[in-house]
Amino acid sequence: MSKENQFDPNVSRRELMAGAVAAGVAATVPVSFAFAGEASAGAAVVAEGQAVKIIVNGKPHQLTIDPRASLLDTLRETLSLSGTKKGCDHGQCGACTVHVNGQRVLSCLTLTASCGGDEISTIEGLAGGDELHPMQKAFVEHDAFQCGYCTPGQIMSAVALIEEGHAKTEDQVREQMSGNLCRCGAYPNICKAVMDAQSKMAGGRL
Amino acid sequence: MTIEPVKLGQAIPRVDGKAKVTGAAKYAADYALPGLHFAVIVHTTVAKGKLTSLETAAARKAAGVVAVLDAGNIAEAKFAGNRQPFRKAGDDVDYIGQPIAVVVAQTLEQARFAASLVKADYERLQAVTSMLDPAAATLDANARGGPNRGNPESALSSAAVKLSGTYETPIQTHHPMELGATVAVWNGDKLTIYDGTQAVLGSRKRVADAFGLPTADVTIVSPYIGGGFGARLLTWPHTYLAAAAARMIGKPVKLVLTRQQMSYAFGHRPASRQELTLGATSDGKLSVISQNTLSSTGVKDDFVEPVTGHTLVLYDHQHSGMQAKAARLNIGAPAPMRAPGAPLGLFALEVAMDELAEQLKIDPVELRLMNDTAVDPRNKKPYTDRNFAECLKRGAAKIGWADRAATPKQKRAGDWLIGYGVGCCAWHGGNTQATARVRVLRDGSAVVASAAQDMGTGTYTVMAQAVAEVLCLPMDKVSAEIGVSTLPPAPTAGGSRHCSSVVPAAHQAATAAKKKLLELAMKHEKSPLAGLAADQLQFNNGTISSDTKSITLGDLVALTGEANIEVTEEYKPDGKPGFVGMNFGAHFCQVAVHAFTGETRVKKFASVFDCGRIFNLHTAANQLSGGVVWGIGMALTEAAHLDSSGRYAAADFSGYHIPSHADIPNIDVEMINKPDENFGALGSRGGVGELAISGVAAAISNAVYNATGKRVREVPITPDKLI
Repeated sequence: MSKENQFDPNVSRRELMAGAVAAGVAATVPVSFAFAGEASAGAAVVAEGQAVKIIVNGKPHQLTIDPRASLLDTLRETLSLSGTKKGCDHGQCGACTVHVNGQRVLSCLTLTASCGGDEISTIEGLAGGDELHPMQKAFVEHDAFQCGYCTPGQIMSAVALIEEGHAKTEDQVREQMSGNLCRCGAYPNICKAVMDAQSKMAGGRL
Repeated sequence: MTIEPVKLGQAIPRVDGKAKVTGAAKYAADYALPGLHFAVIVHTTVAKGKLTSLETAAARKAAGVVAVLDAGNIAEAKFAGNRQPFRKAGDDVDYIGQPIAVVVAQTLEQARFAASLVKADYERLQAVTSMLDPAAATLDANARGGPNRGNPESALSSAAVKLSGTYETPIQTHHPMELGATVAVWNGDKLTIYDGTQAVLGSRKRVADAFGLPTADVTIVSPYIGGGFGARLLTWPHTYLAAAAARMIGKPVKLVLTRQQMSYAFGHRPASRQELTLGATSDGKLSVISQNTLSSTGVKDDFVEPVTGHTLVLYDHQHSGMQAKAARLNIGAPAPMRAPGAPLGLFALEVAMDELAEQLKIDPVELRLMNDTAVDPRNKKPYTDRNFAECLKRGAAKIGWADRAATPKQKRAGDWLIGYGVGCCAWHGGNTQATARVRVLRDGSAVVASAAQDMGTGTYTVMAQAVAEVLCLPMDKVSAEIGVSTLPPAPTAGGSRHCSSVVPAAHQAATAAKKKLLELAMKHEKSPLAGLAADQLQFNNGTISSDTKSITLGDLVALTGEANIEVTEEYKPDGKPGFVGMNFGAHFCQVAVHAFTGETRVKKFASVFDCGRIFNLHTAANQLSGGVVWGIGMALTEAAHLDSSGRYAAADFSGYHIPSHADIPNIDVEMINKPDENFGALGSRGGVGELAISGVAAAISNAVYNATGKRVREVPITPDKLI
């Protein structure tokens, strides 16, 4: 077996740095590696870094991230907020829907590097402590999910939809939520939950 | 204060609801382990030919890469018998999607980029991508109902009325929302796999066998599953490869498939082309049903879609001739997909019945009622219960069938042509052994545990509901533990026979726990109820009481000095012999077809289902409605088109169109909900997961015909077929 075909789990920092330059990826910030320590499960190991500050669910984070990282992957892998889901990574399914500055956004098509100073809300930040948000309550009451995988995206999309004033009728909800796919097909119950929650949300418009 | 006791059959909200709406529910890719690395699969991009060279040097040198697995070094993963998951240079290639390398890096971005640096060259041969290609190898398959029952040829030639047609369905893909993902971590020679699987114990065995490990050394953790639909019954290469990578680098590895890889390497439903023939008297009584089917399969696979499986169970008839063949394509392995065979075979049958009704000038609902049967025509055994006629009558009333014009093209609303259609469904009942353990704790709560699976089917809730009913506890005092391989044995969640197995098991274990608690109450020296007889005692809202005294279940447990009382029970199917368990339903729809563009919109949908006793009105209705949504997708938008290169024209949601919100109207679901006294299983009969999808496409095709006068015998019914 030639040396090229063998892997070496103890690749040195120098080899990795050389590899990074050879691969032609520009580093804007000199890096230092660390393997995630046993005590900090899920913290990112960063190859090359772009400094960016984002506020997630009210908490500021000063991050050094790979410029290629999507907001979705930063939320899930760097910040260990796994509530937002990856369904397609191509902006086709809506499972990754979060709020950026109050607007519903596909986080898989958003580069974290472009989010400097932005306020980001994820499903984890929706409930007020133990008290569920009216949309979350409505989803449970109306059984608006089955497997639950698209559910965080559906809920974040629905909350923003109501803020937009685009949930006046069931037909409007169906049209305006069409970016959130549900393979289990819980659509009728989702629609009912959204209409119900709307009437209970403070500031919700009918 | 009296509290409404929990019972099976109520519309109890899901017990896992809070976890799902808050993002707390963890699916496979959500597990963040210390030192986690990221793996990406590189696969063949040619459907037939030879892999002539594979160059991984650039990938190995890329930033953050700690390993590249390929045929050259995979021995280090110590698969049993030197199992080889990779194509290597010099190997034949059979389909797009065969793994050739796995790149492992510290971050996902690094792994993904490095994977793009792997170079593979191929000698290309012409792939077989169509069932009708003369170059396709074929195999004969087991046609359900056998080749000849009675004398179909002579019955057909003497039938007063004959109908024959060719019906076609395309390749369809499961596309559950959760991407296939595995997190694998070794502890010495013990392996833990975080995965989404419908087969917790089956998966454990396959993974253990793959590495030559005792099953006790492999743990599968799968508490939440983002949809399965049959694809997750199998253990796919990415699971083994994640484990291999983790073993080789000595760190946990996460491997997540892309949505495109979900088209190529996660199973699919084969295509079909069927000739269906009906023979009947001039009064409309069927004498012969024959079906000759061709479906697709992979190059080396044994899986053949059982298209004929449910064609003969709906209507009385005397003769049948069923044939099935499959043609091998250069495509990845097919997999069971929600109700294997039935949606295809019943599409053909239910459109043909509509055509027959027209020929006979009999109403389509009447024609079906006329051919009702209480016995399975294939073997003359009585059905455990059958309320098919009731489904038809109630469904017809719901949709307003009386408003339907008897001849096509009679109704219009502006630019939209309006029509009504009916299509029926069947799916076998089923259940099997399952074991459940119930513990009652000192705080008075109960936990039921089994290696069962909940992929949105509601297993958590109905198991807890059974225990709450038996022990007379409120729902917030009962929880279910499932989805982990160390728990008591449960069957796979497949075939729509899961809840009809694990709920009786939970019920049986709770009943044994109740008996144990009662004995404690009656016999323990410190029990305030000691010396009383069983008929003097009542369970109520977490206590056992007599007329004058009571004790909480928690305090009763505490008397034992143990942390809990525990019972484990194995449920065995308890149906009466000599019957056939079968579920039935009828779908009714109103469609609007645009007169100029051919766009078809489903305006109203109503279905009535007969699946025996329903355990939870919310979860069952949602499953059945979800099956209707699948049927609408099959009818109008879903097709995985293979081009002649063996690539899918669109391998993700941009081209494979599953229904979206805007495609789905309100769906009116009614369940007959009559306990089946012959099937056992607490009166349930299974079937809820896979019954509803069949018959929907036929109902829609029939409605399109009623609206437009155009008979479409293939799906999806896209606008090009109507203009």
